[in-house]
Amino acid sequence: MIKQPIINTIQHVDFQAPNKINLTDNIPLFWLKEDAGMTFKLDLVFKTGSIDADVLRLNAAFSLLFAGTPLKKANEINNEIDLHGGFYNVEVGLEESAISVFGLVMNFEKILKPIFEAFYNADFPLDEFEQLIKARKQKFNVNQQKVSYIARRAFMESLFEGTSFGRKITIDDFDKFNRLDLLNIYHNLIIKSFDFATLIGDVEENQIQDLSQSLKRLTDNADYNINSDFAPDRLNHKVIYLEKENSVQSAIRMGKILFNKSHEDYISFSFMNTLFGGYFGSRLMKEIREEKGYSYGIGSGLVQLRNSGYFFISSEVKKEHRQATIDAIDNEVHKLQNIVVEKDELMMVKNYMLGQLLRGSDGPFAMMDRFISTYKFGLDLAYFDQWIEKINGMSPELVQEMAKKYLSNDNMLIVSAG
Amino acid sequence: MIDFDRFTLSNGLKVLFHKSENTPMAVVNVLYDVGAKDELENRTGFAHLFEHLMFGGSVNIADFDGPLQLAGGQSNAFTSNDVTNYYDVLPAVNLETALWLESDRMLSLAFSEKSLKVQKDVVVEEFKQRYLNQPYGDVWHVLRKLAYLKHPYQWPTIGENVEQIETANLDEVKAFFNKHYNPQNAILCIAGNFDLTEIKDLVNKYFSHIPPGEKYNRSLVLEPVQDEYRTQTIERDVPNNGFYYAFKMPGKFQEGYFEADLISDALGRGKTSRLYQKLKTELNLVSEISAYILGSHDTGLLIVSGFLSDNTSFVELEENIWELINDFLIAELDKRELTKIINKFQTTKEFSEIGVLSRAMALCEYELIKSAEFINDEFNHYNKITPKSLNEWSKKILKKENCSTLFIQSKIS
Repeated sequence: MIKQPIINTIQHVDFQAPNKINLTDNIPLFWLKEDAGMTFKLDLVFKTGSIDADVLRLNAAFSLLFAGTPLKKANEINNEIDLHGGFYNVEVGLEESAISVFGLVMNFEKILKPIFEAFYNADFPLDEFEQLIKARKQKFNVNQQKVSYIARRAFMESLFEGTSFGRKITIDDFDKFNRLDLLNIYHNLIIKSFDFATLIGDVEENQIQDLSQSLKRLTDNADYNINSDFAPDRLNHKVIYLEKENSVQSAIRMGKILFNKSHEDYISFSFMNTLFGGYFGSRLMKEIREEKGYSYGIGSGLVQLRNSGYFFISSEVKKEHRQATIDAIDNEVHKLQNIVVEKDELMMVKNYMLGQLLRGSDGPFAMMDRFISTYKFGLDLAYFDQWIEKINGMSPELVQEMAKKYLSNDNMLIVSAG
Repeated sequence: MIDFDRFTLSNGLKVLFHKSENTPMAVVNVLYDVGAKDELENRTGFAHLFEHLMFGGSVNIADFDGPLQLAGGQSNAFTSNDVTNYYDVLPAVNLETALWLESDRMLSLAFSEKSLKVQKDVVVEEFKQRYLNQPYGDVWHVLRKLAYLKHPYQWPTIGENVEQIETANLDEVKAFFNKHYNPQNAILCIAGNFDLTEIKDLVNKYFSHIPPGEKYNRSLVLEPVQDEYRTQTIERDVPNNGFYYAFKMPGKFQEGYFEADLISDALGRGKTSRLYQKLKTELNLVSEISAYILGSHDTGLLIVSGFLSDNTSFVELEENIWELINDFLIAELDKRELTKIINKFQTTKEFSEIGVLSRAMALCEYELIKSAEFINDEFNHYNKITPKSLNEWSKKILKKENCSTLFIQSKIS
C-alpha cells in the first residue's frame, strides 16, 4: 500500500491581464495574444439584456442580426463566413448580450468582413423572421414538457415579479411583435449599447487598427443609459408547485435575491455556498444523491447581476421524493446554521475552491473570462489576491454566520414542477 | 502540433506524456478499453454503472473524491459504446495525489453492497432523468435496434432497460472488473508542466506493481452488411414529429471515415448545408435539420435528424430527402463547397485542442484506435479529400439499402 502523497496548498495564482486598447475613452478592447495557437475569438459585448428590454423581442433581434441585409440573403452571408472556416454565436443574457466570432487567425479579415457587413446592414427579412418565430414556438412547446424548464421559468418569473423579465410568457406572445419592432430595437438599443470588446489571438498590430475602424460605428453611437437601478427585493416566503401528472420526475428550484461580488459578504458566502451545494462533495450532494439516491444531481449557486444577485438550489428528483427532498434541503440548511463545521471539511472546501481558481485560469479563454468577471464590477485582478486570502482565512464560525444570515426560509422562494 | 512522449510498463500499461509549459494544472487521464459494446445482452448498462462504481472507493483508499478535492482537484468520467474514460484535473504541485488514486482503483475496487446499491439508484435516476422523462428520450434505444441487428451497438450506453441495472449483483461486478480493468487494457496520459524523467519515475512508483491481469481479447458479433431499407414509426407524447435517418459508415479512422465526416457536414452542418438550405430555408418542410456522425470505433452511423414543420407529412419528407440525396450524388461538390467544409473542420479541430484536458483525452483515444501520432496527421486526411473521392464515398454510404429510418409520430394532435 503506497503512502498518500503530501498535499500542497495553493497560495498564489499568476493571472494574465490582457492588453487594454481604448477604442474610445469609455469603450475598451481587451486583447490576449498568447497561447491561443492558430485560433482567434472576438467578443462584442452590449449592455442590454432581457431585464431591460422585452425578452422575446431582444432574443429575436439578436438571433436575426446576420439573417440578411437589403443586398444579401442569410445564405450568402453564412456561406461567406463558412467558406473561411468562421463561426459566430449570439447570446442574450439578463443584463448584457454578446456576439462571438471564432476562426483561425489566418482567416481573420476574411471572416470579419462578412460579419460586419451583415451586422451593420441588418434588415430582419420577413421570411427569416417568420421562420424564427415558428421555430421558437415549437421549441416553447417542447420545453413545456420538460419539468426542469417549467420549474426554472416559474422560479425566474416569481423572483423577478413586477419587472418585464418576470412576466409570464405564453405561446401567444410570440405573435405580438413584428420585424419593425426588431428594427426599432436594433437602431435604438443594440447599435447604441456597445460596452466593450475582447479579442484572443495572435494577430498583428495593424489588424487591431483595422478592427478598431470596423467598430467605429458602434463606438460612435454608444450612448444608451442602462437602468442601473434594477435591484429587485423579495421579502416573502413563497411556495409554488406545478404538478405534471405523468411525470416520473420533479424539478425543484429554490432561492432568493441576494448580492454580487461587490458586496462585503460575497466571498464568505461563496465559500459557504460551495460547502453547502457548490461541488461534488457538498452537503446537498452527499445527502440527496449519495446517501438517499433521490437524484442524479443537486447543486446551489449565486448568479451575479449588475446591482444585485440571486441564490438558487436546483435538482431533479423522483416524483415521489419531491417533498422529502425539499424537507431534506431544509434540514441541511438547519444543520449548517446550528452545527459548527469540522476543520477537515473546511480544509476540503478551501482546497477545492483554490483548485477551481487555478483550473478556471487555464488557457487564454479562461484568463479573459477571469479578467472580465472583475472588470464588470469595477474591480481588477487584485481582487483575486483578496479572494485567496479570504478563502484561506475562512473559519467554521464564519460559515455558520453566513448560513444564518442568508439561508433562512423566511424569504426563500420554493418552486417545484412535475 | 502536439508533442508527446510514450513509454510502456512491463505490466502492459501504455503511458503518454504531453508537456505543456504555460498551465498551472496537471491532467491525469485514464482510458480503459471497455464500453457498452463489451456487455452481455442481458446485462446492458454495466460499463456505465461500473464507471460510477469506480468513484465509490478502491481497495486501499476508502474515499476517492475526498483526497482529490483536498488536493484542489476535480474528477469526472464518461462511458461510450466503445470506451470508458476517467480524468482528473488538479494543481500541478499535487500530481502525485491523482496518480495515487488512479493507480489504486486500477489495482482493485473496494467492492461493497452499499456502494453498489447507491450507484444503482443514481444510475436508475439518470436513466429516468435523461431518457425516460424527456421528450424523444428513447429514440436511441429504438434506432440502435433498428440499425444494428447483431452487433452490441444495438443497445445504448445507459442500458436497454432499468431492470437489468437494478438486478446487477456484486459477483458480476467483480467479474467485470477483473475482465476489463487492468493495465493491459488501459492507456494513461499525463499532461502539464513536467519533465519526462520525473513522470517516468512517478508512473513507475505508482503503477508498476499492478499485476498485468488477463488481456481481454475482443471478439464481437459482426454486424452483417445491410442490404435493405429499414423503417419504423413510433408514437410518443411529443409536440412535434421527428425523424432520424441512420446510414452505415466506416469505423473511426478507417478508410472512408474522413469522407463520411465531410459528407455529413456538406449535407447538414449549419445553415449553409444542403439539407438546411433546401428543406428548411427554401421549402419550410422542417423546423430543424442537421447531419452528423457518431464517431464509433466499429462500423458507425451517419445521422440525418430533425423535426417536421406542422404541415409536413413523413411521406413528403421522404420524397424530398431522397431527392436531395440523389442530387447530391449526381454531381460532385464544387471546390468552393469542399473548401468550406474543410476549413470549418480545421477551425473546430484547432479549438478542440487548446486545453490540456482535451489533448490528454484525445491522445489516449487516438492511441487506442490508431496511434497518438495520428493527432498531428489527422488533418492531412481531410485536406487531401477531393470532390471525386467524396462523391465515391457518398455513393457507397447514402444508399437507401444502407439506411435505417425512424419516424416519431406525435400523439398530441
